[in-house]
Amino acid sequence: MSDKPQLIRPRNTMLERLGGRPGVPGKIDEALLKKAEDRIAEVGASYPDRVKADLEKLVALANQAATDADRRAEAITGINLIVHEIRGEGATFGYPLLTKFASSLFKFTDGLTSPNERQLALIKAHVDVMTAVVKGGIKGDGGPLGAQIDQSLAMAIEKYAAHKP
Amino acid sequence: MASTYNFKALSILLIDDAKPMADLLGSILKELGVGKITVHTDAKRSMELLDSVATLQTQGTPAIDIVISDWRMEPTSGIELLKWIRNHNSDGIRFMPFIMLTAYSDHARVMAARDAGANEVLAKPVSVHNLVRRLLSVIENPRPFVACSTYFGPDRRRKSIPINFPDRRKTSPH
Repeated sequence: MSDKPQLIRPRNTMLERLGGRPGVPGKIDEALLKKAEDRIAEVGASYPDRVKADLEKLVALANQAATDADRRAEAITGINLIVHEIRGEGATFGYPLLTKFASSLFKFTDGLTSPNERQLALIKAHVDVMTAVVKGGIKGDGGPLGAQIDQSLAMAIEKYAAHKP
Repeated sequence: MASTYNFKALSILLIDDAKPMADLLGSILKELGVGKITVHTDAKRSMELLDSVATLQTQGTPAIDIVISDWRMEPTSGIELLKWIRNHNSDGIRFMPFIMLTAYSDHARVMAARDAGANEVLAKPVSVHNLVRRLLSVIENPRPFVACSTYFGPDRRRKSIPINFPDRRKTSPH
C-alpha cells in the first residue's frame, strides 16, 4: 500500500434504500421506538431467571478459587469473563446496581493471578451481593442500602488492591 | 422536511456470544422494522457468511449492510473480526460499516476500536436511543475511508477542522 494516504468514498446505497435524503436528517417512527423500548422492559422482566445460571457459575468459581490452589488462576479468569458480560447486561435490563458490582469485581479480578485470602473473601463478598441484588429483584440504584454496600466494597478494594501479590 | 426511515430494506449481521444480549439486540432491531437480522454467537461463523456473500456485496443490493459485533468473545474477538473485515480482499466486505459493541467504556479501548477501523462504538448498557444514534450515524454520515500503509478504515477525523496547509490525502471514488 502506498505511503501517500488515499481518501476513498465507498458506494453506499443505504440512505437511498431506506427512504432518506442526502444532507437531510431523517427520523424513525415514534411508535416503533416505543415498541423497542417496551421490548427491553419485557426482556428485562425475565433477566433474573436468565442470569441465574451465570451467578451459580460465579459461586462455583469463587469456591474453586478459594479451595483449589492449582486451579485458582483459571477460576479468577472465569470470574472475570462472566462479570464482564454481566456488567454490560445488568443496567441494560434495568439492574444498574448489578452492573456496578459486576464492574467492581471485573476491575478487581482483572490481572489478578495469585490472590491472598482476604482478596478471595472480597471476591466472594462481591458474588454474594450480586446474588442478593438479583434474588431481591433490586432494580434501580438500590437506594441508601445500595450506596452503602457499594461504598464498603470500594473501600475494601482500595485497601486490598494495594496488596495485590 | 425530514423523511421517516423504513428499515425493511436493511440487513444487519449481529454477533454476540452472550445470548441474552444477542437476543435483546435482535428483538430491538426487529421492533425497529429492520428487514433482515442475522444473529451469530461465534465470529468464525460470521467470517464464513461474509466470505460466502463477498461477491454479492458489490453487485446490486448488498446481502449485509451493517455488522454489529461484541468486542470480548471467545474464541474469536470482535477486534479480530473487525481486522479480518478491513483486510478482506473484497471491497464489498472491507468497506462494510462496523459498530463495535462493548462493556469496555474507557478511552483507550474506544481509541483501539477506532484504530482497528470501527465506524462506531456502542457502549453497554445498551439503550434504544444509543443504538439508533449509531445506526443513523452510519446511514446518514458515512465517513470516507482512509487507506495508507499504517491504516485502513473510516476517516478518524470526525470534525471538519480548517487547516492552513494542503491536505496531502488523494481523494478517489470507490
